[in-house]
Amino acid sequence: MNELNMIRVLLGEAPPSAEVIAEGRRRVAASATEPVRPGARHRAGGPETRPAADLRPAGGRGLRHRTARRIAVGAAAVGAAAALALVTLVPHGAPAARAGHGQADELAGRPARGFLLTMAVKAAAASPSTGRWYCRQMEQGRRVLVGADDTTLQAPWDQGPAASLAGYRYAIFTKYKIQSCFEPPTKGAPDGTVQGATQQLGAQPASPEDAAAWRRAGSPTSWIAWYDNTARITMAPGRRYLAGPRPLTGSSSGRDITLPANPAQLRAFYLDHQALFSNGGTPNEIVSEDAAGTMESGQPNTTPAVRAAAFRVLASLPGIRMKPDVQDPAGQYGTAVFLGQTRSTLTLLIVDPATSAALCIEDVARQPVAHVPAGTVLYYTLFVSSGWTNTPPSNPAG
Amino acid sequence: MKAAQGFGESPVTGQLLLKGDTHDGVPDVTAQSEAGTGPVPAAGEFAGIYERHFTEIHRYIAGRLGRDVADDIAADTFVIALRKQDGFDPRRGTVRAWLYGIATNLVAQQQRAERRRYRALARAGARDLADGPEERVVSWVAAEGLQPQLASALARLSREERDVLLLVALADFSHEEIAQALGIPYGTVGSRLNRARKKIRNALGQEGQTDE
Repeated sequence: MNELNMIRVLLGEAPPSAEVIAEGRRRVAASATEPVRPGARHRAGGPETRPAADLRPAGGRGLRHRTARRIAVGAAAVGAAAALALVTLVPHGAPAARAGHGQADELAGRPARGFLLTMAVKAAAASPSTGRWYCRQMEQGRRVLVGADDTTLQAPWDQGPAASLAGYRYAIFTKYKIQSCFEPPTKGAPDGTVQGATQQLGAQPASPEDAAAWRRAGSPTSWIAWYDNTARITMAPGRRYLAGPRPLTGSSSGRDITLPANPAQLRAFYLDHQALFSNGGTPNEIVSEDAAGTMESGQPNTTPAVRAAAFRVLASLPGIRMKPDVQDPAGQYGTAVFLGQTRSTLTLLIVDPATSAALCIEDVARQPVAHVPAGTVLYYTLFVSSGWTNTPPSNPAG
Repeated sequence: MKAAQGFGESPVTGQLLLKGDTHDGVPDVTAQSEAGTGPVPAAGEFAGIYERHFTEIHRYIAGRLGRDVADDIAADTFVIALRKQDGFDPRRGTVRAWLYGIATNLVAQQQRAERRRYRALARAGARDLADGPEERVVSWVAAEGLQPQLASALARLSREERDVLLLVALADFSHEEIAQALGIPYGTVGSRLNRARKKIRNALGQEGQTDE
């Protein structure tokens, strides 16, 4: 068998169900007939466009967010669920992401080992949640640069070819809400089920200075995406896109993976399962990102003991740093643990020191870049809630 | 935009009734709305495009990102296609290549999801395929358990190499169709494909095999 046939075997998927085809048909029809909202900017003669590609919950538009790895370990089932998502959780108009966490010299932080070991003790003492459904709620946001003609610019932290910042005017922050619920296999649903929804919460100027520049630019209420001139980022919230419940199937579900509760074994597990993908990450980077992912509690197979082990794994990393009293985009105070960095960004896990709960993961600028100072938040994921529950997922359409 | 005129959803069948340009000789779907009770929208071609291509586009995206993500992105592909149909130029390629180009662009925006997909596949073993179609299980066995190495090698390709390789492997595209879909020169397709295949073979320890 040659490599092309092996790829076909590896990536081959069954055709979509009739339900999926019908849902897609409905989506396309809805997009064609969607009315133009008052005040929304659009190209002459065209319907207001859903920023289709901009709505993606998992990653949004190509930020080189190295914490991608963290979700991978044992979380594919939830990853699938997050891709579906459920309901808006925070009302539109929630505060914009804070400007940042200080200048570069303040981002040096201080040793985090003691703090992380304390968090391990707190995590181990937590009561495991139980229930029929595992539900997770998140908010994601990202900084978007706007240039001339209300068109966004590819930022240096976006994926893709080299960006030009010519014509830069101001920055906006776009936000999404995501909810997903996963039900393990039952007699009636041997594969388990997943359901969820996503909603774009709209965008707003990233800071008072950006707001002033936005007003000077004519106060536009929508922006043309740089990667697709038919896609729009809108100031007004978008529609909710719903999915499921549907069977959770396929080889990517990963629902049977068990994470070790022993720190040494957990570290080995991270490396065993990530070493295949050593495209740029050192072992410590891989471990820190995966440990942070475990501590989000965003995985149905993460017990208090596993979370405690993940804190101990992080504490074992040489030189790991932290900064206390950091405010996340929702205004919550916590301690930022520095997980890793790229050439231009620093990834922070913000932990509630009172409970050990993971509040948020952020990428911030390490140095001045694209008209923003060091410490500016470029991307964040707020962990609103996660855990097992016996409360049936609410009807997202209701 | 022409696509915004005279279409909607049949109140009876729920069938898409879209008016658009003529692409690809797709069949008219007027008959599917004949039982409608209200004014029957003008029949068009886009509904035919959707019915003809949605399944394969979904499978392509599912192959690259996983089934759960594919539902949304496959629909997005057609939403974008509908809105961009005025810009479609049949002299530059087929509707199929055009749709795959849109889908590939959307996949490119999901690189984290794609990496997760490969990692999950690398961890998956024969057990995950045991309840799948027999043919697939047999094929997996024939692949001699090289799945982790293959998934890893795919993850390490550049995005441009992966796009070309997977349009061949998953969509059976010719070089010319890939050039149309991705908007790149014909010669670039060949060089990227050769480079990608060589990397994959090296990862699998199969350098030297070139058969289909």
